[in-house]
Amino acid sequence: MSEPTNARDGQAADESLITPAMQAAIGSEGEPVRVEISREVVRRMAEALDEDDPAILAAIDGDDPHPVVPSYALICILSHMSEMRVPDVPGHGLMAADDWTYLNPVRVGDRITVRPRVADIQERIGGRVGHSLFVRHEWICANQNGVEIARVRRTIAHYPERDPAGSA
Amino acid sequence: MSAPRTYAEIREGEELPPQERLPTHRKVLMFIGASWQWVPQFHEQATAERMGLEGPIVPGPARMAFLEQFLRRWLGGAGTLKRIHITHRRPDYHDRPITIGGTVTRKYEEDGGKLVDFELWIENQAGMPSVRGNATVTFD
Repeated sequence: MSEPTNARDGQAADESLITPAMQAAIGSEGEPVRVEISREVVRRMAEALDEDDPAILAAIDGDDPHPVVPSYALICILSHMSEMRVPDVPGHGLMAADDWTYLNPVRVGDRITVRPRVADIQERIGGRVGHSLFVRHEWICANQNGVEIARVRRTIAHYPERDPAGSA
Repeated sequence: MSAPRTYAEIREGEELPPQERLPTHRKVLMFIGASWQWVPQFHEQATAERMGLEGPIVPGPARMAFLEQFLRRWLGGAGTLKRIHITHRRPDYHDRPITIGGTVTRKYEEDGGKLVDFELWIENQAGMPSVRGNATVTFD
């Protein structure tokens, strides 16, 4: 009787998905990512999210050149660009958890530097997506004055692509 | 938006009235464009299906933003969000309504500050949890 296999690579289901390259990536730090908080991007995000807070809308369209922006602006602007690539992880990933601690306000015009790190990789057998890898990323975000504005822990679940025939 | 709530007004165990929200395909695309998160499963049917999903999903950061907005509306703009932590239980899909809710779990003073903890959640149309989380708000 054959062992159950993963969808694409024929790997035994109880064989670890964590490769030496992945193991080596744990604890590694990536290149800093830099991004400016643009008023126009915040305005577009507020529109996409049907923002109705009069104070936020007034701040976005007001005369203050550096208004405080809602916390979600930071989450949304930094989200995609700050995740480090981890070698060998299956290509598909879904966000499993997100943990943001805000330390100081973020303003329009702030130039944010994110220092990313791969904090941990764990594997899980079973669950909604089957045999999968959970990669925990950590970011420290600081503004142009070196003041920390947020600390983030994000976990991404990676899993092999499903067989189109539905056998996985 | 409700009137700004004070720390004194908030009661432990108080329920935040649930609100329904419809993340339309158009609004999700606007969000992806604004935040430049062109992740295929957020907008491509074929990629979503290859990942075992029913269709393009609502991005996790958008769901986090929904919770933040929900909380701020209930607070009437009072307080400052100090921390938010969420776990994604199952995807939410474009053009399917979701319900957002929460509860006050604890209010306390710490290091001279006044804090309130909340439990937050999103449920899908079938009443299944898609996001569970908690947040801490500080008051002056």
